[in-house]
Amino acid sequence: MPDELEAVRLENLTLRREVATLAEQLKLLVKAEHALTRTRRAQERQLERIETFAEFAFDIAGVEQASGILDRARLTLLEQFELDDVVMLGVDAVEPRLRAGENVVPIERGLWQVLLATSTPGIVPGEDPGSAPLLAALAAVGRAPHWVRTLMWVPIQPRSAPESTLAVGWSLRPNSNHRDVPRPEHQPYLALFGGHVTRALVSAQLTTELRRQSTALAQSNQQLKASLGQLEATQAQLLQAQKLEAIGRLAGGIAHDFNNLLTVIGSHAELVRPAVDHDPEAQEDLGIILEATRRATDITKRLLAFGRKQERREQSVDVNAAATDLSRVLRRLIGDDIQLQLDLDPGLGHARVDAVHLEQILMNLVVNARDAMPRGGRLNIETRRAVEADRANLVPVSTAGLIAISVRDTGTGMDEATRRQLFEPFFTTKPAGKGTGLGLATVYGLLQQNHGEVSVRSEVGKGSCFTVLLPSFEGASAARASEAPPPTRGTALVAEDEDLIRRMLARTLRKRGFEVLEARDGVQALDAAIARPDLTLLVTDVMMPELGGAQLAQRLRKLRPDLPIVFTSGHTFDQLDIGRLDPRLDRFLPKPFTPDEVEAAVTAVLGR
Amino acid sequence: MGTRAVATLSVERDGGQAGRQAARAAAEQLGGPADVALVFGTTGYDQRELTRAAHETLGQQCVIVGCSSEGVISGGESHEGDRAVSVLAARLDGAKAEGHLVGGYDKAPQKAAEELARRIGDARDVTGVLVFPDGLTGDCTEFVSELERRVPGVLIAGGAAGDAMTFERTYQYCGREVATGHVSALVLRGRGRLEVATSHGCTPVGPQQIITAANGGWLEQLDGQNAWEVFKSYLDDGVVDLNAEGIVHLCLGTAAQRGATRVDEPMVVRTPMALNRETGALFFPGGGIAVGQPVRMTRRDPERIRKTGAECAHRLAGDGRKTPAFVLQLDCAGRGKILFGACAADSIVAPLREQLAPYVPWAGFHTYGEIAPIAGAVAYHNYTVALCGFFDA
Ligand SMILES: Nc1ncnc2c1ncn2[C@@H]1O[C@H](COP(=O)(O)OP(=O)(O)O)[C@@H](O)[C@H]1O
Ligand SMILES: [Mg+2]
Repeated sequence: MPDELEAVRLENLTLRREVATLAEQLKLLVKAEHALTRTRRAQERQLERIETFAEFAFDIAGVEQASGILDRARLTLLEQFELDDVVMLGVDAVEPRLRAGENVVPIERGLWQVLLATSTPGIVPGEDPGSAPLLAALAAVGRAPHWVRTLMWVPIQPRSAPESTLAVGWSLRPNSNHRDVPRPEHQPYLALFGGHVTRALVSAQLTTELRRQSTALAQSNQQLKASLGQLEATQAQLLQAQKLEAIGRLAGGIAHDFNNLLTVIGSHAELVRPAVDHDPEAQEDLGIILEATRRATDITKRLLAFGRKQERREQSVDVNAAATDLSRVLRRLIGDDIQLQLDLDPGLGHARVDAVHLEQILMNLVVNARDAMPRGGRLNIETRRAVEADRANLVPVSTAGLIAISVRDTGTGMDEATRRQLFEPFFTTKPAGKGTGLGLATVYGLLQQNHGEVSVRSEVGKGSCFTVLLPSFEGASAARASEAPPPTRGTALVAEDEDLIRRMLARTLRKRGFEVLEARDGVQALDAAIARPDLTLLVTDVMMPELGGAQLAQRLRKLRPDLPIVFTSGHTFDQLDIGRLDPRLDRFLPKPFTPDEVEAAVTAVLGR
Repeated sequence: MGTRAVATLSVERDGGQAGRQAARAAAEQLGGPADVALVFGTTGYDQRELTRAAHETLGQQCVIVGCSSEGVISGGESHEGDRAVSVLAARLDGAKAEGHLVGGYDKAPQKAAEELARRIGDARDVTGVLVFPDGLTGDCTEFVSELERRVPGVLIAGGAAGDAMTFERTYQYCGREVATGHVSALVLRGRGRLEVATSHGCTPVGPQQIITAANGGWLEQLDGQNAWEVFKSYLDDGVVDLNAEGIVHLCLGTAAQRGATRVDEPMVVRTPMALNRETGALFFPGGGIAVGQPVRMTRRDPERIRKTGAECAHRLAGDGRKTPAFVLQLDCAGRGKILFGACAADSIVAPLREQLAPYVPWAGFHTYGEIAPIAGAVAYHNYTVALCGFFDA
C-alpha cells in the first residue's frame, strides 16, 4: 500500500513537472507569438509604407497643381502613420504669415522665422519644448489639438517658391497594432518623403512653365504659319497684278496701233464701196472686209479697255437690285435654251463696289457660263452673306462683312489644268475668233481694284460655280474704322532710284492715305513736282543719279518753301552734304527702315 | 406605441456646436421632445460647452446622463479621436428616467454607492441602472458590490469614463452638470426592461497563479514573483514599457465567481493600465485585485473578439426573437482602433449589429472599464463588451 501511495505520489510529481514544463513551453509559444506578431507587423508596416510611398510617387507624377500634390502628401502621411490629423501649414516666404487652406493669418515675426528655418523633419513628445513653435503655429490658424502625445512635422521647401509648407501631424494615442505612431527612427524616412514632395513640387512647377512656354511657342508658330500663308497669297496676287499690268500695257499699246490701222482699213474700205457698186462679188468681199474690221475693232476695244486702268468710283451698291436689273439683259444674252434663276438673300445689304465694275464682272461670268452650255442648261445667280468656305485661299481673315455672289452653271465644267490658268490673260479654250481669254483676267483685275476676290469650283461634265466676294458697305466701313487710317492725306512724291525701295515707300504711303507719285531720279522728281503744285510731301533718297536729294530739295524749296521733306539714305547723316535740316519741316530717315518708321517720320514732318 | 429612440453623432470641432448638432438631429428625428438622452463625448471638447449645448437643445424635460470617453459609437460608426459626440435620445412609453450625479466616488466608492442607493429609494419599480463612474479613480469593484447589495435584484450595468488615453482626467455628465471623480447614473423605472450580455474574446494561456501581493488596485506579485517580470516572460524581449502592444496582447483572467479557487470560463478579464517601472507593480483601475485571488494570463484573439461579440449580440436579442428599443454598446477602449486600426467599427460594431434588425438605434462609447453582471454578480471588466438592450415588453 505505501508502495502504491509512493507510486501515486511519484506519478503526481511527474505530472506536476510535466504540467510545469508544458506551461513553460506555452509561455515560450506565447512569447514567440508576440515576437512574431511584432516583427510581422513591423515588416508589414514597413512594406505598406514603401507601397504607399510608391503609390504616392506614381500618383503625383502627373499632378501639376501644387495644392493637389500637397493634398495627397497629407493623405499619405495619414495613411502611413497613426496620426489624428495632419495640417499643411503654408509659411509665406516674404511676410510673417501662415496659411491653412483658405485661412491666412499674420503671425509674430519670431515664430515665423523659426518656422522658416525648420528644414528637417521632427518627431517629439507633445510636452517636448521642440513642439512649442509648431503648436503655436497650429493655434494661430485655429487647428491646435487639445492634447498631443506625439507631434511630427515635415518641411516641404521648394526653393524660390512664394511659400514653403510644414506638414504638421499629431497623435493622441499610443502605438496601435495597425499603424505606427511616428517614432524618432522614422526621421530619415520623413526626410526622404519631404524631399520627394519638394522635388515633385519643383518639377510640377517646371512642367507648368514648360507647358506654358510650348503653348506660347505653338501659338506663335501658328501665327507665323498664318502670316506666311498670307504673305504667299499676297505675293501671288501681286504677281498676277503685275502680269496683268504688264500685259495690259502691252496689249493697250498694240491695240492702239491696231486701232489706227483698222480705222484706216475700215475708212478706206468704205471709200472703195461706191467704186464696186456694180460688182456684187466685190461688194460681198468688201462686206466681209468691213465685217472683219468691225470685229477686229471690237476686239481691240476690249483690249484697250483691259489695258486701260479703269477709273473706279466707290459706291454703295444694292447687289440684289443690280442683279435683278441685269438679269433682263442677261436673259436675252443667254438665249432660250438656258434657264436663268436668281436666288437673292433679302437681308444682304449693299456692297462697296463700282456699279459699272460689278456689271462687267457679272456679264463676263454669265457669258462664260453660257458658252459652257451650248446645248442649254441651268444658270443660277445667288447672293448671300459670305461664309468661310467661300474664301479662295486659306488666309485666316474673317468673312464678316463680305457679300458673296455665285454664278453657277450646269455646263461642261473644266479640268484641273484649265482651272489653274483660268485667270491668265489670253488663256482661252475657245476657238480663235470666239474667245479672247480676257474675260476672267478682267474679272480678276476689277475685283482686285474693288477689294474683292473670286474663287471657282468646278467638275468636268457637271458644271462650274464662280463665287465673287465683295466687301459689304457696313462691313467695309467697320473694317476701315478699326484699321484706323486713312483719310486722304494729300499727294506724296517719292524719289528713289532703287526700284524695290521706291515701291515699298510708295506702298507704305498709299496705305497711309497718300496719292503717290514715283520718280526714279531727281530730274523726274523735279518734273513731277512742278506738274503737281498740290504736292504735300516729298520723300527723297539723298544719293541719286542726275540730281541728288539735297539739290532736289534746294530747288523745290524755292518753289514750295513750306514743303515737308523726308530724306533717306544708307549713309549716316554726317557723311552727307545736305546742309542744315529745318526741324519743323525736315526729317532724316536712315536706311534700312520699316514701314512704321516711314510712317513715324512722315507723321512728324506733317506735324500730326 | 413603445419607446422611440434615435442615435446621432457629431464630429464638429467646437464643443458647443457639436453638442447642439447631435442633440438637434436627435430631436428632429424623434419628431418631438426627448424624455431621456445618453451623451458621450471625447475630451477634445470643452466638456461644459458640450453638455450645456446638448442640454439647451434637448430641453429641461429631458434627463441627460453620460460621460467623457476615449471614443464614441453611433450607428455603425466608431470615432476614437479628438472630437466626437454620440447622443442616444428616447421618448419613453410608460417608463420613467431619472439622472443622478454622485460625488465622493474617487475617495469612498462604497459611500457613493450608498448615496446612490439612497437616492434610488424604493427600487421595486426600477428596471435597470446604468452607471458611468470615473475610469481613473475609485474602486469600481467595491462600488458595484455595494450598490448591488443595496438594490438587490436590480440590473446594474455601465462603463467607466475615459479620456484620450492620456489617463489624466475623466468627466461625468448629468443634466448640465459636469464633474470629475464622480459617478453619473441613469435609473429606469416603470415599464420596460434592461438586459445586458457580455463577451471578451480572450484565451487563457498560462497556468493558474495566485496573487501574493497587491495594494489598492496595484498588483505587485504573482506566486511570489514580481508582477511585471511575470508579464514580461510572456512578451517579446524588446518590450520595456506597458505600451499599447503589450496591453492589447496580454491580459489577466480572473474567476467570475467570487471566491472561486479555479479560473475558468466564465472569466472576468482585467487589463493593467499603468506600470510602476521602479517596483514593477501593475495598476488595475477599478480595483478587484486581492491577495489570494487566482488568476491566469490570457491573450487577446481578434478572431474570437468578432465571433464572441456576435454571439453576445445574438444572446441579447433572445437568439433573434427579440428586438430592443435601443442598444447601448460599452466597449473597451483597448479593443478599438488600437487593435483593429481605422476600421475598428468593422470588427467590433458591425458583427454585433448584424445580429439585430438594422433599424435598432445603436450608440455607445469606448470605455475604460465595463460594468455588467456575470455569473450572478455585477463585475468590473476590462477588454470586454457590455451590450445593453432596452426592451419595451
Ligand atoms: N463657266 C465656265 N465653264 C467652263 N469653262 C469656263 C467657264 N468660264 C471660263 N471657262 C474657261 O476659262 C477660259 C477663260 O475664260 P475667259 O477668260 O472668260 O476667256 P474666254 O471666255 O474668252 O475664253 C475659257 O476659255 C474656258 O475654258
Ligand atoms: Mg469669256
